[in-house]
Amino acid sequence: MPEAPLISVHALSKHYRSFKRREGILGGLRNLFHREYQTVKAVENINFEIGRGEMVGYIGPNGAGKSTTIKMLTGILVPTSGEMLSNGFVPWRQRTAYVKTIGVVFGQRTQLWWDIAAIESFKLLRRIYDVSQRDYDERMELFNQVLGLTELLDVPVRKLSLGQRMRCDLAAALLHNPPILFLDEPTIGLDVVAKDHIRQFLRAINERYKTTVLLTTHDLDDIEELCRRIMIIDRGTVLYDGPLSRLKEQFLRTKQIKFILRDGDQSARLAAFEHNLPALAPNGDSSAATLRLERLDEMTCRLRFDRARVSSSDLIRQILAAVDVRDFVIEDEPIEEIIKRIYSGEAEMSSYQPVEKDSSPVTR
Amino acid sequence: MAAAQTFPLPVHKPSPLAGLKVYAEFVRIGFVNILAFRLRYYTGIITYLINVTVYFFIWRAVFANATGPIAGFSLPQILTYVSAGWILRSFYWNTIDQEMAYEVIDGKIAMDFIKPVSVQGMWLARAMGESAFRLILLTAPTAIIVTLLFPVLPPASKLNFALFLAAAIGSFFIMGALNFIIGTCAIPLTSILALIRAKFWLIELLSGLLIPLNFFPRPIQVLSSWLPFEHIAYTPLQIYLGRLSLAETLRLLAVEYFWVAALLFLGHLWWIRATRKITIHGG
Amino acid sequence: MKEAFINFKRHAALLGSYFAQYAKVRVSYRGDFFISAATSMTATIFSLGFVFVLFERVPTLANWRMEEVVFLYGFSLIPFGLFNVFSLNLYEFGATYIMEGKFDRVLLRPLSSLFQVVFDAFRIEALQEVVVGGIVVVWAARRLHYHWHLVDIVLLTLFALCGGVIYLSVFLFLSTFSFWFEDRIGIHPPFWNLLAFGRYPLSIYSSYIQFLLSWIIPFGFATFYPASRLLGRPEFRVYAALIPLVAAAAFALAVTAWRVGLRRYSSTGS
Repeated sequence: MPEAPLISVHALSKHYRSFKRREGILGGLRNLFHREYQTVKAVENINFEIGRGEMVGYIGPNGAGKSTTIKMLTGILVPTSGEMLSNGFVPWRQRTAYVKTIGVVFGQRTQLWWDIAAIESFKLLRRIYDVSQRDYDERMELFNQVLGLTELLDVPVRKLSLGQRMRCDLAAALLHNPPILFLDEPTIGLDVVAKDHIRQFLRAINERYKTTVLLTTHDLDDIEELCRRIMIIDRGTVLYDGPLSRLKEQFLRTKQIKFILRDGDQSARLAAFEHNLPALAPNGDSSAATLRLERLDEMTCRLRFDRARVSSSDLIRQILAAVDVRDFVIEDEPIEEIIKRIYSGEAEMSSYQPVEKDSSPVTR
Repeated sequence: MAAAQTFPLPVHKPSPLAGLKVYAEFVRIGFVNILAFRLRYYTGIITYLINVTVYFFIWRAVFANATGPIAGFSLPQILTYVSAGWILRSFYWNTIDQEMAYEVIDGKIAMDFIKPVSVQGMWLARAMGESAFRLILLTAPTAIIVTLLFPVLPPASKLNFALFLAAAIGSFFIMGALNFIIGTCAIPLTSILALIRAKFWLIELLSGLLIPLNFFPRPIQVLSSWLPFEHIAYTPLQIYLGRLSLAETLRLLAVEYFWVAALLFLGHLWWIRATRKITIHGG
Repeated sequence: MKEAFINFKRHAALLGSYFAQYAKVRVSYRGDFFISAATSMTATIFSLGFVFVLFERVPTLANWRMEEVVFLYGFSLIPFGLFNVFSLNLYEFGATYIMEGKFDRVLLRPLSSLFQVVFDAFRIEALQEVVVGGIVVVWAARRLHYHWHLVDIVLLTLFALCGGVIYLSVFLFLSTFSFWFEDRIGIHPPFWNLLAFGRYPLSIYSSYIQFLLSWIIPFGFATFYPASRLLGRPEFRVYAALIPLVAAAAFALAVTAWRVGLRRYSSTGS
């Protein structure tokens, strides 16, 4: 029997009326007495379902509607229209009961009391969320193990580094063991080690408590390491919702071969190869997107090609025949590039057919 | 021993006019900054009307049983004193101390260190922008409404009015320089809310705004004449009402502008001291 | 009904925790606490200056003896001081909660949002106003040869608490404007100036202002009416009985405004 989704969102929209500020002194004077407004569609008719234990990455450029969605999901904002059920609650209608069942971390803002030791915040949060002493001790022990909180707890929060503070904030959000965790840019501004720490912890929590996680991020490594499922939003609408693997399959257009020449004598042969490149393209179509050779340095070259039109094995054969190569590697186009193309509307979304949802828990 | 070698570095010397332009920009920012908040504008006008009203009624009640002038003031004179005083205050008042405190809390104050202008000059320029705004949009309407609602006497003479204006500009500078000093206290103290409140009452009282200084006991009057505060309101208002001889007027104006220079200098020194401490603590 | 009671008990229990939390913050900035307490007290004493200087020259104000006006002024500081223990959060509501987005955080906790805002800080040093006000009242009462009975002390305490609630309600009501208008400073300053009205006998004002201070912004019920009653003055005696009712009504109105503002916030988000 398929489990009912933990979060279901139907035809959700949020429109704002925003005040148009006029510029300059004269404009400012006019603002004093008369104002003009415009409607902004922050979120427009989005639909999705999230199952228990899923970890979903929610991405989009700045101002795409990510934060607005999160604010609606957490009960801070009431939508203009549409329906939403999260963990059995309508978030904005039963706010205090609902927020007891969620954890929220805003990467840029802390929920800890700034001037005193972090442990004081934990103690108060324990009381606010009615966590029993036994559960508290048990969870704190886990947090200490995975996040290494022990040495941070007695330091005033304002003296913690960003990474240390984020560790504390995550623990604070999970103190009451919520089934759902919302993270808004949890790794923003963190160094590589700190990011890794956070990701490991999220995986551990997901594994142990089957916590459902929805995270927004600009760092696609977060997604690749944590989420099987990704949702892309831009200008208020969801452009893609599905497994990361399918995103690649569907939108991966170019691949690249990097090769290193054996020695400096290869220059002439390389030039000849470059000259003949158009002949390798199907139907003589050598547009930049199809085949492009770049020299990265004296010895290293990069050949980008359209994977749909040119076969990589053919291409390798041709390269090996033309120049003397010491080493080579074939790479996919970086995921950033794919997403950039989706944002810019270059990737044809019409070709994308949503397939039935894969809601199995992600516990890699 | 190698002599220190000097290299003829190309020195970019900005023309004094270019420097002024930078400050003009801050004046504009101060002006536009206030414009951005229309609520503050409307509440501002109401605030002044309320204050004039409170003190109007208090003074009227004070004079109700009086047979002659009190401390040399007749009822029309004191009512004019109060009304003109609050109109004047609407011009010289500014909140740069509070804004500096906010910037210290936000950490924005650090940006002031890297701007190639005098920090004090920049804040004063912002205050000037604020006062220019107040003059046009707050002082003028308040003055019109107050003169319509309350019996306000005209200035004693044209000359008195001109000298009153000169003194009013001095009031602005004394207030601005004081607020810069208070605002700078936010750097070592972080929370200066109480300090701002203490300054508020000290200045309302010792500037002579709430009650003319010659109502005070003699020793306080003597003490006050050695302090800058009475030049904020008492001196300009005495000039407006024509209660001083010309010689006395000019002497007080000179003292007022001496205080302007002294407070600006003190503020300059205090800023240097306060910010030196910041670098020791490493921000 | 039972649920409401449990909810109330929960919040009451947490009040202690919130106070302890804030006390810890203040202890970590001890120096700041003492400076703040000292400067606040100086400010209070300066604010008394006007009355004392004025009465150097005039013996009475609208049939009120100087000591009676001083008594009124001193009494007015007591409810104001009580209110000021919580006022900081209300003054800064627009700036820190709405503009800087701290209010989102409030809405994410399973507690009343009003509770979290009002009890986020306890400015204990504001009690200096209660102390100064108390001293001034005692001083004025002695000069008036006032005989304190137990009833007077009970009434004074009750009036002071009601006055504190009236101040809290008015400024809470004003804070809710921040849900509609974004401004760091907020709408408080003119009303802060209105406080001064209530510190003098209402009889000196025109009837419009008396009406305003009784029924629109009921500062008169926080200061003048209770002080008149305590002094046993004949004017406005019936009003004293209304004090608790006015306090309750003002509080109910402010809480309603808060609820409406909350709805507005959750439909605009900023």
